[in-house]
Order: sequence, then structure tokens, then C-alpha cells
Amino acid sequence: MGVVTTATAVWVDDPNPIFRQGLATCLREQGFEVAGTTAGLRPEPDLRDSGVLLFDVEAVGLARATALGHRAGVRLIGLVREAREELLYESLTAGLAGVLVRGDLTPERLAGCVRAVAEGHGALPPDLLGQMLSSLARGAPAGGAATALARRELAVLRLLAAGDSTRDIAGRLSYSERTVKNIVHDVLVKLNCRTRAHAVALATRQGVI
Amino acid sequence: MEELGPSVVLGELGTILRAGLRVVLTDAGCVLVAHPALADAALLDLDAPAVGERARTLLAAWPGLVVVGCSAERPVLRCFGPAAPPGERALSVGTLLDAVGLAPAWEGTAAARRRACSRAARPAYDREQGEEPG
Repeated sequence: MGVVTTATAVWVDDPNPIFRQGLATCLREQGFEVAGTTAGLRPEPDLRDSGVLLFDVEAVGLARATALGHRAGVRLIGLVREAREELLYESLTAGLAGVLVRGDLTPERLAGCVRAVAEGHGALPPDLLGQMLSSLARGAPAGGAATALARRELAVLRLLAAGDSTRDIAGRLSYSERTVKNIVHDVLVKLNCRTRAHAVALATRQGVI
Repeated sequence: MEELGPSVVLGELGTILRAGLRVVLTDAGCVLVAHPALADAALLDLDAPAVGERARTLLAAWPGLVVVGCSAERPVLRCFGPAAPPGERALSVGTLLDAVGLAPAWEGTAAARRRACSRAARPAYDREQGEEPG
């Protein structure tokens, strides 16, 4: 996954024309390029020059957005109206790399999420991730692909779930950042996940972290 | 002499919606002002729980003010006040500009109200908002 700078091009899709304009304006002010805007992904956008597709989950639907995003090879961020666990699961398993809650959205959160996703990481609202982890810890079934993870891979995953960055994890486990990145890569391959957040969700659901 | 568009004050709005409104309104020639005393129209957050009450307060202080609620959650807007069309309308740049003072039904009221009310009503309005009259 290549490192993407703040010049990342973002396609913005939202049914509310004023909010859509606001998203585009805030992204530009934060140094991102806005490749284009649509409502309801109509007409179907040409995403060849975009790195990230930001879209309203309810307006477009996960299936349509992910099909388009995967076909174009762009990373996906979904805007949701409420922070519901089921929606987060659905979004992650569909392959979204980031989720943002409309009501809580600030330019800083927007930029942070887009930047993280463009760099190949995942970005989830912290409160929602916390809720999801708690509920999974209560009733998660054991077994699945995540049980094949090595001890150090599990240690890295646990720290990812706690919100630590690559640098934090390297410091805590006395690894180099390069080693941590390699371990994360191995985890993503083993679990067949596209993002760190997806791997955390899967491993948590399978009860191994 | 070039005629300025309607002057608009933005109420308490989320930063994303506010950014969008700022661009759309200024691109259309509206003038953004900081106080209702100077405004032809006020824009409020339609998703806020007390938006109706807030609109009534503004209209009581500034009877000629055009008060419009704009939603960030849904593409809808709503005009408040006795002369406003009832219910919600689809939100587009066109309907927004109509609502803030470019539609024929709203013309004439704002400028006259501003001339008549701004100086006299501002201290009372400021006190109502808990601010020192300025």
C-alpha cells in the first residue's frame, strides 16, 4: 500500500447539496484535492483519478458503493447518521476503510479519517469501536481464521484494537516500526482483510483478542 | 451601482454545513453578516431540537427577518414565520437562495425591515441573547 500525501484526491458523494459543498470545501481547506462530487453516485463517477470515495451509506447503499469502489480500486469511507454497531459490522465486512458519523463531523475528524484511510489504515469513531469491542467480548464465538495467528501477531492486533499507532506498538513491543508493519501485513493476509480495522473487527468477533 | 444580494446571518450550525452555506451564499452574491440586526435572513440548524423556538425568538425580535432552517442530515429546508410556505421543501442551491431572499415572494421585506429595525431593535435583541448591547 503506497503512502499517500495530503494531495490525495477524494470523490465526495452526498444527497444534501449544501453538506456536500461543505465536505468538499473542508477537504480542500485541509489540503486534499476533490476529484468531483455527486449525489447518490449518479451519474456514476469516473473514479480513476480518485484515491478515496466518501459517500453517504444510507443514500447510496453499501453494496453499490463497495462494488463501484472495488472496481475502481479506491478506498471507501462511509458517512452514517447514527453510530450503530450493526452498521459498523456491515460496513467493515463490506470492505469500508473508514466510517464517520454525520452529526459529530468536524473538518479535523474528516481530514484525519481521509488521511488515515489514504495511507492504508482504517478509521472508526472511537466510541463506536469501544462499544463494538465490549459487545463482542461478551458474546464472541471462538474459532475461525484468526485462531491461526501467531502470538506476536495477536499482540500487535490487541494494541491496534486499543487504538495504538504503528509507532506506539513498536515502542511497547520493542520492535522496529518496519517489523510492526510487516506483522500487520501478515495479519491482513492471513485474515484476508483489507484494513487494520477490518482485521481488528474480525479477530474480535472470532474471540481471539 | 452594483446591488448587493441579501444579507444573511448564520446561526449555530455544524461546521461542515456552515462551510457549505458560506460558499453557496457568497458565490450567489449574498453578504454574510454577524448579527441579525444587519441581516435580511437568518439560517438555523433544522436538525437542532429547539429550532422552532429559536425561530420564534428571532421573529419576535425581528418581525421582517426571513428565518430558514437547513438540515445537514437530510436534503430539506424549512422557512419559518407567518408568511412562510408551510412544511419542508427539498434543499437545493436554488431553493436555498429563494428562501433567503431571492424569490419574488420575499422581496422588499428585508431591506425595509433592516432600515426600520436595525438600530432600534438591536439593543433589545442583544439583551435577550444575554449580551451587552453593542
